[in-house]
Order: sequence, then C-alpha cells, then structure tokens
Amino acid sequence: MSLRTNLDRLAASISQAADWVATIANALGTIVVLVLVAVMNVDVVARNFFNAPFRGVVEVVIFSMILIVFLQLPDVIRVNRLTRSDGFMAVVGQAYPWVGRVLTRAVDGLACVFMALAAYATWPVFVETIESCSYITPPEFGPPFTGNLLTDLFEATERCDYFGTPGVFTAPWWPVRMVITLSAGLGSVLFLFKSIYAGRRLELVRLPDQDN
Amino acid sequence: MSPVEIGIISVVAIVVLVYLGLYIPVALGTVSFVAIWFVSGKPILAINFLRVPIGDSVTEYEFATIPLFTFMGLLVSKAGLGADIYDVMNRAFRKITGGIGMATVGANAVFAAVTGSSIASASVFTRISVPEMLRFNYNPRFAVGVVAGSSVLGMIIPPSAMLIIYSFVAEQSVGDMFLAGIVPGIILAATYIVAIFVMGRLTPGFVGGQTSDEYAADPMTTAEVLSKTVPIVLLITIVLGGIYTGWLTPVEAGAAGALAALLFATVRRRLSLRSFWESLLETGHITASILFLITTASLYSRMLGFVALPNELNQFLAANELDFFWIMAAYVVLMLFLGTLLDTASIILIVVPLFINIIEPMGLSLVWFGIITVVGAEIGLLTPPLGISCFVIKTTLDDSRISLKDVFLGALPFAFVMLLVLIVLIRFPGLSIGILN
Repeated sequence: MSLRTNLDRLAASISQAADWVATIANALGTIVVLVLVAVMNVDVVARNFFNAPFRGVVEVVIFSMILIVFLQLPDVIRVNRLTRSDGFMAVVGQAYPWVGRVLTRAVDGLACVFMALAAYATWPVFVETIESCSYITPPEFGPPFTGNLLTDLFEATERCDYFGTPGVFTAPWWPVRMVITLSAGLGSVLFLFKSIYAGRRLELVRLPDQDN
Repeated sequence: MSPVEIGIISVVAIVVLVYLGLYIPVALGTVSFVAIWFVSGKPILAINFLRVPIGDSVTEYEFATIPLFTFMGLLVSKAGLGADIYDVMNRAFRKITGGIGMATVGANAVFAAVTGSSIASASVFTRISVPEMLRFNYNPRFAVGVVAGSSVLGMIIPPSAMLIIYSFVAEQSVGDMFLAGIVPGIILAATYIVAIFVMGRLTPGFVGGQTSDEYAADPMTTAEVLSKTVPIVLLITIVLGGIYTGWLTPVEAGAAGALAALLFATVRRRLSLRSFWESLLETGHITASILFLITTASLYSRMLGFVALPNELNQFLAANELDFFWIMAAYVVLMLFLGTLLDTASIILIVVPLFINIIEPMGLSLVWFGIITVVGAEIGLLTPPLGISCFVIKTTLDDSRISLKDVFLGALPFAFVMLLVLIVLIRFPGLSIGILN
C-alpha cells in the first residue's frame, strides 16, 4: 500500500473518531437539557405549592447551560448547523463548482484556526482551575496528603476553585473549563477535516465494515 | 490607521465575510480578534479579549429561556397544535374572499404565542395551509406569500428567540421584552388581515380562490372546537400569564410551558420516544448555535468599545445635528440592507451594539428600541436574495410549480405591510411599552 492511501486511511479514521466523540458529547448535552427542564419544574412546583424553594437552582441552571452549549457545539459543527448564510456560496458553487470548493475550504480552514485560537485562549484557565485543587502537588494550605488515594482526592476537590454560592450549591470549576477547552479543540479538528475533504468525505469514511 | 477606522473596516469585513458564506460566529470572532490585535499591537491582549467571553458570557441565568422555549416550541409543533388552531380559524373565516389567508394569519398569531421561531411557523403552515389554498384555487403566489408574511409573527409575538437575544445584547429583562412584543404582534397580525381583505377587493386576481360551503354541511361541534383550542389557550395562559402576573420568571415560564407541551403531546399520542429524543437533540443544537453566536457577538461588542466606534458615531451624529427622524431613518435603511444578506439574529447582534449608545442618551426606551429592531430585522426574512422564511417555505413545499421567485413576489406585499407597521411602532412607542406601566 502506498504512503498516500495509508495517510488517507489514517485521516479518515481520525476524522471518524472526532465525529464519534462529538456525537457522544451531544448525547450527554441532550440529557442535560432534560435535567434542566426537570429541575426548573421541581422548583416551580416546590416554591409555589409547598413554599419550599429549591435552593441553588440558579446555580444549577447556569452550570447546565455551560454544559449544554459546549457539549453540543462540536456536534453542531459536525452536522453543519453553525449559523451561516450560504446563499451566495450556493449560487456561485452551481455556476463555478471549483470556486465553491475553494470557498468552502477557505471558510472551514478559517473556522478551524478560530476554534484553535479559542482552545488556546481558554487552556490556561483550565490549567489554573485544576492546579487550584493541587491534586498532585502538596497543597499550600489545609491538611497535607494522607496517603489514602480516595481521601486525598476528595480533600483536593474541596480545595478547588469553585463555582456557585457556598452553602447553596458549589461545584469545582475545572470540569467545566475542561469541557470548554476540549469543545473548542474538537471543533477545530472537525473544521480541519471539513476543510480537507470539502464535501468529499462521505466516500472516504465509509469503510467496508460499516455498511449496516 | 486610527482605531476608529479599523473598527469601521471590521464591521464592513464582517458583513462581507458572512456574505461569502463564513460562519457568522467565526466572522464576528476572527475579525474582532484581528482588530484588537491591530489596534493594540499586542497579540496577547487579543487572546485575553477572546478568553473572557468564551468562558463567561454563557453564565447568565436567563439564557436558560433559549433551550426551554425552543423545546416547548418543538413539542407544540409535534403535538399538532398549529394544525388544530388553523382548523378552527379556517371555519371562522370561510365566508370571506381570502378567508383561508386570514385564517392562516390568525392561526400563525396564536401559534406564535407558543413558539419562538419563524422557521417553525413557516414549515408548519407551509404543510397545512398552502395545499388547502391551492385546492380552493388561490393564486399560488398569494398562498406562499401569506405563509411567509405571517411566519414572522413567530419571532415578534412572545416567546421569541429574537426578543431573548436582544435582551442580552441590550441588558434588558427578558420578561419586559416579551410583554412589549404582545401588542405590536397583534397589530401586525390585524394589519395583515386587513391587507388581505383589501387585496381581495382591489386585486382579486392576485388573491384568487373561492369561498366554500364545504364546511357548512360539516359543522364543528363545540366539543371539537374546545378540544382544538383549549390546550393552546392553556399554554398561552401559563407562559404569558405567568410572566405578566409575575408569578413565574421567564425561565420558569419556559420550563412550565415545556412540561405542559410534553404532557399534551404525550396524552395525544403524537410523541414517540424517538421523536422525543429528536426534539431534545434539536433543542441542544439550536441552543448551542444561538449561544455560541451570542458569545462571539459579545467579543465583537467589546471590540467596538475598545476601538471607541460607538462614541465616535455618537459624536458624528451630534456634530451633524441629526435628529430622531434621521437616526431612525438611517437605522431602518441599514437593517433593511443587512436584512437582504443576513439572518435576523446576526443583524441584531451586529447593529445593536453600534446604536445602543446613541439611543440611550436620547432618553428613549431600550425596550421599545428592541421591538423596533426585531421587527425591522425580521423584514429581511421576506426579502431576496436571502429571505430565510422564503427559503424554508420553498424547501418544505417541494413543488416544482412554485419557484423561489414566486415565494419572494408573494411575500413582497407582506414585507411592505411590515414596513408600514414598523413606522407606526417607531412613531408611537406607547404601543410597545404601554403594557409595562
């Protein structure tokens, strides 16, 4: 087999893996939507009928919004639903197919660069929030490591920079920050393959074992 | 180049790039990034500018209205509430020339009060109302024009995704925006109905159609009318009633509405597990794309502030002693121009940060300004070359006898009516904000 076909195969499988991750993240985000509807309704009923407001609901809502957006964003990119107006492209693409293709490549390429920039820009925030827990390095304050892995893990998570109001609802920031950075990074990868394949990729991805 | 010049070039660059087909959030983000880099000469500053909105602009409680109302709208369409209300309206208007057209407008206005999107309205009513009009020999152009024209009601009558988006850019309360949208929406619907009546009299050829006594032999029983109207009336009461009385915040109203819609759809057995999952999926997609758009738009508005473009524009207007009339005229023309190229959300996100610093010092209400903006930007849904409502109708219809040109020509009278209503709304702010006092 030539190097060229090997490269093609490698690219196709990376592209497919990226699609898979996006689809799974999307399903997770979709579940968060359902949770959001449920939590809000429990709050409305509890507050109005039982006079027992669900404390921390605002925090939970904000938290789930971030998750919804960044878990679903890669899939939005994957299925070509990111907001655009492609009327001009469609008209030109019909008259001069090669112009349309060049334009598609350029647009997806630029989008790839932008998403990479977004991932790069948000990366330090993620690192900062996870370092605030000092999972591995000895903590600057509080009890030192005990040696028990689980105890230390919980202790460390307590130390994390948190989101929310103490006593109502708090959650460590880093998982959210991680989702944001990974989401942007995955978006960048998806755009890269869109740019490379420029509409041709269906044939490439369709490996023989997936015909069902 | 001065910062302001870079700012002006950026705004133009965004419009051009979007026209070429670049994703709108990417256009807003990339151009703003480059502009800040150029002005400051420090790439690290541009990176910092990029970091803040991506991490923080989604952390707003009221953003939750977007997935909740979207989900509710999707369920309501699946439950067939649009078709029900259309059925009832159709009987009410059956004796008048253009009656099915009026019924479509009326049904759309009611349906709009439970959905937030014109796209949903356009696709639902293309399927139920256009075939009906064609069956009664209406002019195809009129048939599609009515659906296109009345679909914009979906985004003016609350709950509306566009009112929500505006409320974030202008930092207004979502509840106030919703309430302010009610009267203008009703006025627009009523004006459409009057316009159809007038067209039926003056240009019967354009309307076409015949009245029918088909329904006379088959009157609807009271029970039928009730079963077709009660669910939608109940939903409207929960959502708008809840917000108006202050019993529910807009977010809670969205959640309660979504749950009620879910119950209706389940009870009527119109919701399979599969279509339930699809609705959730669709909700997630729409939410993510709107919020990503808002995120990058917040980067754009920071960039505008950084290059001081809104201040400069303000001084320019002051120096030339431009008064209210000319500012509004310029604003409407700008929105109409952008409306031929961009979608409604993008227009709002691009023009509002430029103009808001001019409107506020003039002592004008930002809630009123929001209604003007949404109605003005919505006209673009109907105008070529990129009227999105018209595209949706053409795609949903899938009928080779009706071309995209027919849809645009049919929608034109309705776009004109919208413009007239817009002028009235600008002239009489009380129509929008009166309800808030």
